[in-house]
Amino acid sequence: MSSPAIAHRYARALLDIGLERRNFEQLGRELDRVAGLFESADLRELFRNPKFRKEARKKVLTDLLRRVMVSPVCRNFLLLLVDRNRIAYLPEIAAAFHEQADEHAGRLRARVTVARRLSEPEAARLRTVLQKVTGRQVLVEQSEDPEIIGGVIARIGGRIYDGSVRTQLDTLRGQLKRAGT
Amino acid sequence: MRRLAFLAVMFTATPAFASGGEAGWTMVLFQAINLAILLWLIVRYAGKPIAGALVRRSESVSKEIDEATRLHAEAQALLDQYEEKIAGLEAATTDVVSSLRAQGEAEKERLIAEATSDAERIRRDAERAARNEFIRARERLEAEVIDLAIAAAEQAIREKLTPADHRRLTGEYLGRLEEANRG
Repeated sequence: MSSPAIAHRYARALLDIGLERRNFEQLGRELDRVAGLFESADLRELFRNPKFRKEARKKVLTDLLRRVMVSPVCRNFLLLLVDRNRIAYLPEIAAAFHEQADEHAGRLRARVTVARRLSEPEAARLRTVLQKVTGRQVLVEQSEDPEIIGGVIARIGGRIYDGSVRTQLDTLRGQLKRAGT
Repeated sequence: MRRLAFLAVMFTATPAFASGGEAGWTMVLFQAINLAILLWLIVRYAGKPIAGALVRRSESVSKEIDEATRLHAEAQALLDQYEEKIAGLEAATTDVVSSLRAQGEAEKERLIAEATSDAERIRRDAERAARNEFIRARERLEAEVIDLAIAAAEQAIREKLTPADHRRLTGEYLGRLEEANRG
C-alpha cells in the first residue's frame, strides 16, 4: 500500500473517533505537536530503522508523550502506529488528518510561505482576503523560508498566489534573457 | 604440225649444204625461192591454225586485258572506297576528338562549377556555424551577465531589506490580492 493511502486510512480512523467525541480539532493540534518532533533526524532514524526493536520505540515514544502532553486517544493512536510499524508515516498522517478535518468543517487550509513571520494583523488580513477569494473559511498555516527573500506565497485549494521577491527576480531574469534572444 | 616441222628442217638444211659450195647470186636466188616456198608452205598449211591461234591468243589477251581492266577498275573503286572511308574515318576521328574534347570541357566546367558550389556551400556552412557559435557565446555571456546582475540585486535586496520593507511588501501583496478579488 502506498504511503498516501496508508496515511489517509489512519487519519480517517482518528478523525472518526474525534468526530464521535467532538474533539477532532484538539486531536489535530496534538498530532501536529508530535509530528513536529519528527523533524529531528535522530528520531526519524529511530522509528524508521528496523534494527531498533518495537519495545525500544514504544519506550522512547512514551517518554516523549509525557513531555508533549497528549490526550489518551492520541497516545493510544500513536502506540498503535508503533505496533503496526506505521509511526514513520506520522507527518503524512497528520497532514491527511488536517485535510479531512478541514473538508469536514468546510474550510480550506492556506499554506503560506514568508521570509519573515506575518504579524497577527497581517495574518488576519490575509485570512480575510483568502476567505473572500475562496468563499470558505480559511486557516492560515505559516512557514518561514529565507529563500523567498521577501513577500508572501500562499497556496490554497490548488491555487498559488505568489508575491515573493524570489519569484519577481526569477521573472525579471527570464524577461531579460528572452529580451536578449 | 609434224609435217610443217619436217618441211622446216628440209628447207633450213639446204642452205647449209649449198653454203659449203660457191657463193653468189645463184645462191641468193635459190635461198629467196626457198624462202618463198617455205613461206608459201607455211601460209598454205599452217596459216589457218596460226591465224586461229593468233585470233584466240588475241581474244585471250583481249580478255585478259578486259579482266585486267575490270580488276583495275574494281581495285580503283576499292581504293576510292577505302580512300573515302579513310577520309570519312579522319572526319569521324576528328568528330570523336571534337566530341571528346567538348565532353572534357563540359566535364571540366561541371567539376569546376561543382567545386565552386561546394566551396560556396562550405563557406556558407562555416559562416553559419561561426555565426551560430557567436550567437550562442553572446547568449551565454548575456545569460551570465543577467545571472550576475540578478545575483547582485538579490544580494543588495537581502542586505538592505528592513522589517519595514517586509511589512511594505506584505501590504502590497495583500493589496494586490484584495484588488484582484474586487476586480
